[in-house]
Amino acid sequence: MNIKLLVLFFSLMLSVIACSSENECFVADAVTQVKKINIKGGEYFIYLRIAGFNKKESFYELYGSEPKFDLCGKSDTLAISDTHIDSTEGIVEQLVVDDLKLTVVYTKNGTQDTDYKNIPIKIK
Amino acid sequence: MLALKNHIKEKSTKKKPIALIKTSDPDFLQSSYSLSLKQGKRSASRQGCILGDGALLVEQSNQALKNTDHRFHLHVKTTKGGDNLYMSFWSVESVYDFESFAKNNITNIPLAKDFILKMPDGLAHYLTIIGVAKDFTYTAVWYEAWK
Repeated sequence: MNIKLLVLFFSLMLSVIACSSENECFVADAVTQVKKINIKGGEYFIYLRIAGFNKKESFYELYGSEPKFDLCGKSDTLAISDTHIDSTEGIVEQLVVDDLKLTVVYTKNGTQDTDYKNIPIKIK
Repeated sequence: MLALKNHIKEKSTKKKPIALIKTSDPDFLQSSYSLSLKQGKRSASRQGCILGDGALLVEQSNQALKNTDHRFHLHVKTTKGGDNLYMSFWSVESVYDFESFAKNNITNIPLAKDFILKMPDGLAHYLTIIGVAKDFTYTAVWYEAWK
């Protein structure tokens, strides 16, 4: 890759970012819907949130209605429950929804081959 | 900090060393003070929590803090004086770096309504590989006298 082009690209990007009036958070969380689930006749929505600038952290969030997210990834409604994915605990094996509370089940075996968006969900 | 202070007080009472305590110390991680900071006891998004390796995850509602450094270990060097006064030197040391392309992390930078610039973190990492940029360590320190 041409180094001069790369440095020019970064400089241009920083200029654009600095001039943007829309940007109040500098870095936006990436939020994607994982699944729409049904519990006792009610619809609930599970989202995956990836947050951070140079180091990323991931969270699952449970909403009681389909949320809308602003430019920074902030939702218009509060999550009923959220849980952080702690990679130091092991490999994410399953996401459990129990009494509208999210819990991540880890295993110490293997590698994280499954994307966090495709983790099996168990509803108790 | 409060949990670490309680841990230090307990160790001091039991005549155990308190010169250097870290959030990653196994005896702190197994203590009741650390357990109260675990996920499940607290909301990771609104209050932050302690992770399995002793790193502290900051509350995610604080946009500025989480985008600066949202995961770090806290260290404290303490001496105990008279009248049960403790002098603590708190510190956080982190490395500022980006993950490689292999991690496939993307940073979303909002520029305008419905216009988000998606930058692969691997690009910033690549700059360090070709010598245009460098990773660096940074430290925050503060003192506190407490009882």
